[in-house]
Amino acid sequence: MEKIVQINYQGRNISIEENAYNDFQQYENELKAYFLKEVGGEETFTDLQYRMGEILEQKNSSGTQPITQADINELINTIGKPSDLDDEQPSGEKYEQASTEKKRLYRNKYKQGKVIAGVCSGIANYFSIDPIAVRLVFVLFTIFNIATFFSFNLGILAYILLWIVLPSAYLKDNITRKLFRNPKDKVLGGVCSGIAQFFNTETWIIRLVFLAPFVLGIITNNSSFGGHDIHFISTSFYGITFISYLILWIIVPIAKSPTDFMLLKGEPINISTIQNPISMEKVTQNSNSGINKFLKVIAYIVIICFLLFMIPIAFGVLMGAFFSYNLADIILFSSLNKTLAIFTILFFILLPVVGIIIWLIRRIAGYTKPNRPLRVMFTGLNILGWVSLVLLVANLVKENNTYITKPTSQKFNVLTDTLYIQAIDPDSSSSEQVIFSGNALDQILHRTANDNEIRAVRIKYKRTKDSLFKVVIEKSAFGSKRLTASEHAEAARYEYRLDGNTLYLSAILAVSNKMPYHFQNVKVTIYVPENKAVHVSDNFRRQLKHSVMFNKKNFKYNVDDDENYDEDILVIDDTDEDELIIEDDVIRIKDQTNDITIRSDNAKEAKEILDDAEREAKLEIEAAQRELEETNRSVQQQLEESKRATQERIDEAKRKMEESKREAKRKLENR
Amino acid sequence: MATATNTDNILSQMKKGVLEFAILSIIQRGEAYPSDIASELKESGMQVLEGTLYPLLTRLKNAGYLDYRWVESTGGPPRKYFSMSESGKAFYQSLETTWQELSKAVNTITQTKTN
Repeated sequence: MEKIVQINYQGRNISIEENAYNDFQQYENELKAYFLKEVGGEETFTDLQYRMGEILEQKNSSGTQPITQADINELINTIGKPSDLDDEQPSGEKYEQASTEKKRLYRNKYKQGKVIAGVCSGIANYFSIDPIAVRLVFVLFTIFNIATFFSFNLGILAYILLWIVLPSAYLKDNITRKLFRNPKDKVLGGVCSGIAQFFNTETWIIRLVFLAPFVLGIITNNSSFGGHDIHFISTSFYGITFISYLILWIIVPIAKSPTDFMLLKGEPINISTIQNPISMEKVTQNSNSGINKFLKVIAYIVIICFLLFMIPIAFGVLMGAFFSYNLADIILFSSLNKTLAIFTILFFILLPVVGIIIWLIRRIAGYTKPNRPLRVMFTGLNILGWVSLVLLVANLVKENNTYITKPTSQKFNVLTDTLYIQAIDPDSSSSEQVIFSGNALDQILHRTANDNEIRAVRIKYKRTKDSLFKVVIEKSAFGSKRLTASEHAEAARYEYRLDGNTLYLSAILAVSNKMPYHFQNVKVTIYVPENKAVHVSDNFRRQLKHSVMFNKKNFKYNVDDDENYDEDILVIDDTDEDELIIEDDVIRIKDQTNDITIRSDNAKEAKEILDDAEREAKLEIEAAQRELEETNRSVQQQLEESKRATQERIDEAKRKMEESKREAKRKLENR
Repeated sequence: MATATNTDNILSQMKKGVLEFAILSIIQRGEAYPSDIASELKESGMQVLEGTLYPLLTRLKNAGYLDYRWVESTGGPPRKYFSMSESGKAFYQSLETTWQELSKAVNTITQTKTN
């Protein structure tokens, strides 16, 4: 039973036997090759394609039978084989005559030959090279240009300029060479040997060009190769040849027919070679009308615009992933998690981007038939990416689903009215510059022999009615359950000490590098008694700038957010311990969007009014109490005074009585 | 070999000139569709491949002798119909005159020869 295929040809649905279809495609290619040699032949060929579609449809509708090889032979007899046509038609104007005189740069006017405005095709025609090559250069240049300079794009600019400047003309397909992959001499996909054939050089030279960056990269990066496998892709130089190879493998067709090999080597091809039935190549057919073509171009423009937006974003995401890699490294910790993360980055993020680029390039190159193995491979790898992502997230969530905060508090007896806060660690001189460099996130983590030193420290100031300064240090961490979370929190070491009236604090938290980082962080709350002040050294404030904070709901990262930072650090909150919850709420909300900041301002305002009222009431009560005490005291005084006066009088009377007694006694003795 | 090519050339030149005249005379009667032209030529005994007809039409059109327009067809994309332009009519007139003169002359010559 003959296999029947359904095709859409010239906007007509036709069912045709596969063998017949192969015959037809071969015939169509022969016709195309024949007519494209002639001035205006493009139009004739399009008209004939239309006519062939009509004939095929008629044959199809005359019975329920699909088109057979016999039908195709009949069609060929109606239209004529190129060899028959040549006899009858000797005096068509050939392009050779027209094109020798005008060796200058044009835009290609032919619809079939161009994608947007025929600029690339024109340039290719001028140099007599494969337009795919020129388009590839334009597309790659545009993409890399976008990745590096966001503001303007040389590739697009040049294209538009050439579009305006260059006159358009019907340009003959003058390719004498076409790049194919060489199946006769291949290691992977035959890309290198194809290129070598194309440029008439030795295959090993091209292989060396592709391999050299790999070898160099491995030699120079050998020491850190195991630990930093992601750099393998990110270090763009030797990544580019790798990716280029893959792209070329995918978009460059493999040489199948003798014609392909001749085109690859640049050997001249004449009609008899093309008509030669050895030619087994199946070139994709052009089954589109003018409107379809127009829609296609629109679609390309949309896709290109989309890519222009997507690629920088994807790049940004990847850059973010690479730069925070050190931090990610200690969070992921296990090699399983790291592998999953790499798979996620490669197949979940990078693969779709590469897929879109390849798809677009294939479209530009004119491959309309889906590449099934490629599609299966992409889908498979993408599924792998999804699975990796899910497993990774599941792993991390399993290990970090409970958040625990362990407070330890200490009261300090500071005799002076001011508590000085100084940095315990030496100042890192680079911190100021790092703010503007891209890898600021790297500053968060510093690795030592046994520890990971993480800048995850946050200082808060609160008012207290107590007369002594108090410091509460809260260590927090995630864990799989409460017990492990609190163990993780305990495992974080935080250094601080009091020396006279100076409190030395660290901006760094040390966690052993023998275990994964469970988002341990420290919040230092300094309770400041009324009418006493805190002075924070600039040094310490600078150290705090590069810090990262995790809590149950959000991830906060301070870098150069000066305003916000000053507000947080320098304003001593006018709140009592009782109002801690409101305070927390305000702080948490404040760091989000603008209108919520207003809400937090309102809350602050309301609290201020409340506090003012309370303070006034307190003052009144105090005044009343003072008055009462005064009265009491004066009454007491009077009472005491009168008591004393009475006592004095009693004493006086006693003394007088005693005296009169003594006198009476003396008188009695004298007598 | 050279003579054979030469003979072929002369034959095809002759055919070609006549073919163009025949095509134009069909079109000057009214708008025509290429495959209809081909079948009419066939019926009259002039074997012509559509692969030959189409480039001729394109060339005549590009020379300004023919116009074309798209005509809606049943169950398919629109068809390209050809009609005669003003300069085409003039060209046809001159072709016809030449043809009349030539055929008369050729007839006279060939008949004299046989007689």
